[in-house]
Amino acid sequence: MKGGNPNPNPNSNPKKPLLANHFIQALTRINLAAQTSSTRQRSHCIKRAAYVSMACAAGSRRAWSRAMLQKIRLRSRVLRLPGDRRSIVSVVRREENRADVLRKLLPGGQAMEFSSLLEETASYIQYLSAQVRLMQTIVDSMFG
Amino acid sequence: MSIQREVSSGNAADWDPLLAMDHNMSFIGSVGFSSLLAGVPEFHGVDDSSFSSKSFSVMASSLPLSESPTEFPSVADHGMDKDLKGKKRKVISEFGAPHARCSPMNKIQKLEVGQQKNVSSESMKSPRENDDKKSKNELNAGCNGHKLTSKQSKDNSENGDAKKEDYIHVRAKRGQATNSHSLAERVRREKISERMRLLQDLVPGCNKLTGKAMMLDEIINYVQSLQRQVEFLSMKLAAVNPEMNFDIEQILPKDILQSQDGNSAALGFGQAMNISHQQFHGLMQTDLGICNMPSSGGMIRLNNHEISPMAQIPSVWDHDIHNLVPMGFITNPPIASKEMNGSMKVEL
Repeated sequence: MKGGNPNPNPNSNPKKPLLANHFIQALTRINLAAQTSSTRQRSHCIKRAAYVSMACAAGSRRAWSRAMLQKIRLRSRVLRLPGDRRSIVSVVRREENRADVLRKLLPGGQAMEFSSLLEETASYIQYLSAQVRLMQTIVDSMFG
Repeated sequence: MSIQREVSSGNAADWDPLLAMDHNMSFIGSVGFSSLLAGVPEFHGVDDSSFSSKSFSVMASSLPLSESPTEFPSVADHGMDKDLKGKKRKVISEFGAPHARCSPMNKIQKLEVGQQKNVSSESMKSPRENDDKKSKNELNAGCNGHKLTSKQSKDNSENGDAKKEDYIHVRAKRGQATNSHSLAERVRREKISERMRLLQDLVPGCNKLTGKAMMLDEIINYVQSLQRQVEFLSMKLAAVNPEMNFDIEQILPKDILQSQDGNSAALGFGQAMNISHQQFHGLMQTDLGICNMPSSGGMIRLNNHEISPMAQIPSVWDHDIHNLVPMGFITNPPIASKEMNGSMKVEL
């Protein structure tokens, strides 16, 4: 099964079944609603499905996956009103150092100290690259 | 400091870090008292420095000199919770090794052995071994500038793999600051550099880069590019999806789609894939934008939604299966016997 391909990276295998299964299931679900949704909506749903698959595959062991699942579940429930934009409050922009930038990129990164931030980033990169490869393969297969 | 010198006449070199640590703790006590507690400051290197100061003050306040041998265990027990027992034993083993020559230290050794019996229980035993090994690891690692005694070198050879513990025991090397803060800082820096090395392996093209700043830049760029790729690919998938839908209808025979039974559906996959393989690739050659609706009708209702794309995708990927195997698709046994030599699991 997995042994068929000599994969030098030991980390890549265990999470892939979950990732692929979940994502493909989500894709098919979105698929079926294709007639009723615009391309932009679908792309948004697919993107969200991609991140959810990542987070599900990572499980609750990782802080970023927990934070991401929370955020997504929250977003799906809370309706965004037009008046929500922070146009009124002026945001003071601090000078961002690199750690801050990384914290913004990583889900749940604000509350971590630097060493755990690095660890979570490593895991996030693993899953993110796996997801990208999966999606690329799907697209490649569809376009020949 | 002078108190310590009295005690450890022969082992001045070995005592250096401990001295400094002890100094920090600001004990006031007699010779015996401070010598007893000299063993304990090994806690220092641990992350939880606040704990250590607390326990020392507990001990410092409650231990008169004469009663120290007997009271020490009880106080120690009292002051420490389960986690700390790991550290305590670490100290014991630490002292067992290099300081056996010193007679006061022998006393301590016996005391702490006795203490161990008080502390008890077999759950302690295995962590104790780990502590032994770990402490010896640290001891040897930290003794760069020191001469290894014969006993130490023997302990060197005894070192097995130190199992992972929650606490990182650090020994200040020769010539380095032994301040509690700087030790903790060193631990933190080592953690960070270890994680940066991990990241260096993950992010392509980072091998030449050194220095935290550039590495971080590269990492940030990489994460951003991956996220952009996800977005781009999801747009692509959204664009293609309508065709996918139609293709499914074309490929799968109606009875397969409407089957509720997992087994038969799985078998149906096998058959469908034999058929669909050529069909689909024929489709791929033609214009993707044009959807050839089957004559049988517009909508084939899919009773089991998850089955259909699974049937389609495996056939498509028959050529690409070598790419997918690392992806870890696992298949149902009936399908496995068919043309799918790889692995695809239908999670229904």
